[in-house]
Amino acid sequence: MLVNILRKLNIARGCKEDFNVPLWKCPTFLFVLMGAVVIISTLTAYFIASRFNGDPQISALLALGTAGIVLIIGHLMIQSFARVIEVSRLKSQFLDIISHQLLTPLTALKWSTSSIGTDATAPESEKQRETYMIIKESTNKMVNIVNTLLDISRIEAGRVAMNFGKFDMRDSVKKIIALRAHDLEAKHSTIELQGEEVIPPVLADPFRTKLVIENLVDNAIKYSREHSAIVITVRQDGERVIFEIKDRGVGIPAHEHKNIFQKFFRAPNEFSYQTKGLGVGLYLVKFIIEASGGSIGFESQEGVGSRFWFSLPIYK
Amino acid sequence: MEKIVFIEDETTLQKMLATALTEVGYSVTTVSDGEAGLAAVRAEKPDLVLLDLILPKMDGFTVLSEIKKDEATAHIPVIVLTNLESAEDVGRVVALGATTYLVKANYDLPDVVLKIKEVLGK
Repeated sequence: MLVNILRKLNIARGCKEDFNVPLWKCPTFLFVLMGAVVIISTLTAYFIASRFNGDPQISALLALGTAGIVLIIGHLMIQSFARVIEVSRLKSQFLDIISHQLLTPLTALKWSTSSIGTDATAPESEKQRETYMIIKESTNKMVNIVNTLLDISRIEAGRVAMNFGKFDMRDSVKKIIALRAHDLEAKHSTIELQGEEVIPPVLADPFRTKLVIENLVDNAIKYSREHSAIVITVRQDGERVIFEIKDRGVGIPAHEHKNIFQKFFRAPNEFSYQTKGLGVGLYLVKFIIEASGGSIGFESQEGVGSRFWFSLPIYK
Repeated sequence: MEKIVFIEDETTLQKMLATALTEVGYSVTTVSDGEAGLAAVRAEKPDLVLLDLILPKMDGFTVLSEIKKDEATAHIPVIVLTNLESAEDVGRVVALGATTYLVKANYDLPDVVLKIKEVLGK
């Protein structure tokens, strides 16, 4: 009982545990702050009134009455504020739980398909091989979607743990292109990889950087026209390695350029290409590259196409 | 033959990885909850522990800290195999003395086996 009361009195702790927001955004703290402000202003009003008015008691009562009303209104306001925070907390908690629940069966799928070809389960016919490839590609896509959602909720809570290591960008790009065979075939498009064959490894979070490349490659495929060529260049520039991808596609209208890295942004003209997406890809891409000490940028012209690039430091 | 204790409550994943490890020549004991896992580590003194974090009866963090607290088992390398990947979880696991942590969904099965081989120096 006493412990409970003391716990409730510890505002800083309550703010962190119940709402997971900084003190100045925490309803409990704001309420106490508001109370303090009201009391101080009441006292001030009392002193002022007692100096200039013959009947300070009436002035004080008036001030106190006003303060009481303000306090009630404030309390109601903050209560609703708290409800909003609670909903948002439940939403990210829900996202977190669902994503984790999804990851277990997805891991089983990923592990099953990755062992195909290495043991007795090797596909026998060309048709089987193709089916396995589709399962493998789709599984990887699902893992990426779930990882993206998890990372978005982690960014918001400030809980992203970058796991730095050596990363071979050219090798990764080749593997990613190989896994896009079906998507490219469906669009009758091609991806050409240019640049030097031997590139030094970069210092980055391997899985997240892979996710960045996959996002940019998938965007290029999605928004390119049929029968077009996408060009990827991986090259060294001093102490950095630069990745660049050019497509001849729908492009981004100039007035939307400033929003491109915003969360849940999707350019209005992209729907004319009837593509699906979460609209969080580029937001995450920018976060990952910047958290890795790299930089990112793009050029785009509506109806002509886009060029996205990023650079990362060389691994030493 | 090097011994591995594998603590994982997801039976599908447990079976798949245990089979893959047995095929490359390890002796694998599988356990499905934290308490039984800790008991198996104490009884078998394996060369490596593979540990999930979300487990029934006793969570992976507690199992890890118990293994590292006990002089008889503190030297055993522990690989944390998890799908939790927040900065807090990773930080806690590293602080508790795990050799490394692998995010299950990020690796193909052969790559997980490869990482385990690396830790065992094979």
